[in-house]
Amino acid sequence: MVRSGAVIVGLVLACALLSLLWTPFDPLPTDAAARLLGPLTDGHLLGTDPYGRDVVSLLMYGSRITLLVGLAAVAIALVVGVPAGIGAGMAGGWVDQVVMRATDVALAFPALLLVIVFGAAFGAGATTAVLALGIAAAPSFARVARSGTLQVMAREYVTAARAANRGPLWIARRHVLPNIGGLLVVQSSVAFSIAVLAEAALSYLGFGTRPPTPSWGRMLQEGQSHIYDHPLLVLWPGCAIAVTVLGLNLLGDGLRDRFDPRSRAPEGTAAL
Amino acid sequence: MRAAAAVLRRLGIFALTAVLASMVVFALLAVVPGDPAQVALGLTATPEKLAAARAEMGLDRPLPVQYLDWATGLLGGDLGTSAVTGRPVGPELASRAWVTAVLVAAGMAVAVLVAVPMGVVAAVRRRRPDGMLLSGLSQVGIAVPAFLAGLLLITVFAVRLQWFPSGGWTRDGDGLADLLSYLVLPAISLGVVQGAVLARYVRSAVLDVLREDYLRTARAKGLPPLRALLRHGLRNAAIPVLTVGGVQLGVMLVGAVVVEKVFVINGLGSMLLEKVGNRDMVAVQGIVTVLVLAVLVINLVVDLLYTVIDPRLREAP
Repeated sequence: MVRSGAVIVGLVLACALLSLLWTPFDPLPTDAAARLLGPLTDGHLLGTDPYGRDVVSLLMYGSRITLLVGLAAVAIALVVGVPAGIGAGMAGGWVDQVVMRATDVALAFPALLLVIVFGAAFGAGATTAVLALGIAAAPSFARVARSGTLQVMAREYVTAARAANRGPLWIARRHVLPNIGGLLVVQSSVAFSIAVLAEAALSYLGFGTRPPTPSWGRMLQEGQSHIYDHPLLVLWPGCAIAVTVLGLNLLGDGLRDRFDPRSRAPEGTAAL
Repeated sequence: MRAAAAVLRRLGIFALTAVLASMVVFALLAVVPGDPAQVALGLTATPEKLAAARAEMGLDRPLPVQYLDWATGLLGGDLGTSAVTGRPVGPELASRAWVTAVLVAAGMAVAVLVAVPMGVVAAVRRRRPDGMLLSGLSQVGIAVPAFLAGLLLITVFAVRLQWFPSGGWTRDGDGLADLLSYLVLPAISLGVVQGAVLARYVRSAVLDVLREDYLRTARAKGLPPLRALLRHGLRNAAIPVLTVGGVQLGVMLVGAVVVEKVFVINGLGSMLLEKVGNRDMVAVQGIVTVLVLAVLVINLVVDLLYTVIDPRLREAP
């Protein structure tokens, strides 16, 4: 499972990296003369969109956006959630209570809703979307980090370190972080695929990356108005999203089996 | 007694979370650039008129006072008056919420109808090709977001086959058949994906139950596998599934925002997008609060049901 997941994610990553250097056509400029061409015409492998842009080039450029948004959201969630979770687990007492109640509140805001609220408050765009997605994912990271920390703190080597007068920061760096690293990797893959799904939905709604930057979600939105005459325009970005998420999920499940053998329930990614 | 204490504690956490969450919604949308008085009066309003309007709307008071005022109104079911339309938010929200509730309920029904048979068969026949095929299918289903499923369903069943309308909702005077024809595609797109997620939990819950001694005993008594599972196992398998189902109900509530957009349905989700679009912040506050409270209530009910179904949890400290 890890292997097939890694292959799919690797292919998407390769597409994104390749798009930095080369795409079959320039994905940005519109060309009224070449709009809505069918597949395999004039060198356009999958045809062109309603603005005359090459679909393959758009898909490649979109993969870059998708991965960037996912990566940035996961990074924010890690930076916010993990210190909070480790701190709560190590300190206990009222610190723990405050962090846990804060995660309760944050979890009441589903990612999509949070992005829409942020978009309403601070203006829609990729930056707000990434921030909101990161904040939405942070509480799960905090909870995973906290429960992992609690297990590590009960170990004898931590008691020994304390007896040796090691400070909490030293213990956190030396014992806690390395031991919960696996859990965090698994959680990252889950959060990544949630972010990819959410980004697609948000761009579709007009709350994600703004035009003219191509993204898979907006390709769907633009394709919907041509669903009667050119249904393939919806199919291509749809496949891109589904295949990417499938790859991330397979990778995540495989990583879970490797790092967290006790977990029984297969966590599906229930983003949307 | 322990059970009562646990329930009380859970209720306390619920109340605290609800209050804090409503504060967050209020604060986020109170700091929005754009003055509601300006929105109501337009750009040509004089400063004096603006000040008067602000005083009338209560915007010149300190934020905590405004929050208390809004929150007490909320408790009495009053969501405030829109500065854009000049009408109270509550009634429109209630009529839109009905549409979303019908959609989500139908979606959940589809999810359960997909998940339970799929999960049980995938577990019981896990080493046969059909069981493995079902597991694989649910893996693919999870990767398809609801709105994408909606677009694909429209392409096939509305555009090609023309069995169902590609969008819209019932008007006054329509019968049940009309409602169903509008409901089928959105409910399937909302439910099938969540059904695929749920099916994996059903599968692993059933697998756990299949390993239990009491089920082996039931089999040893001569009950066929499926009968034994239905008689003895489903209740135990239901516990983990119920939790996930509750989480998914919340997920669907928000997923409905996108699905309503795909199918042009006038529910709570399209109302939210509309109000964000014309910067009607009082209405946005109301909708977001209602959605967040709904998620919290769903979680509360699931947790409480959990204690009812699983007697072991009642003993737990």
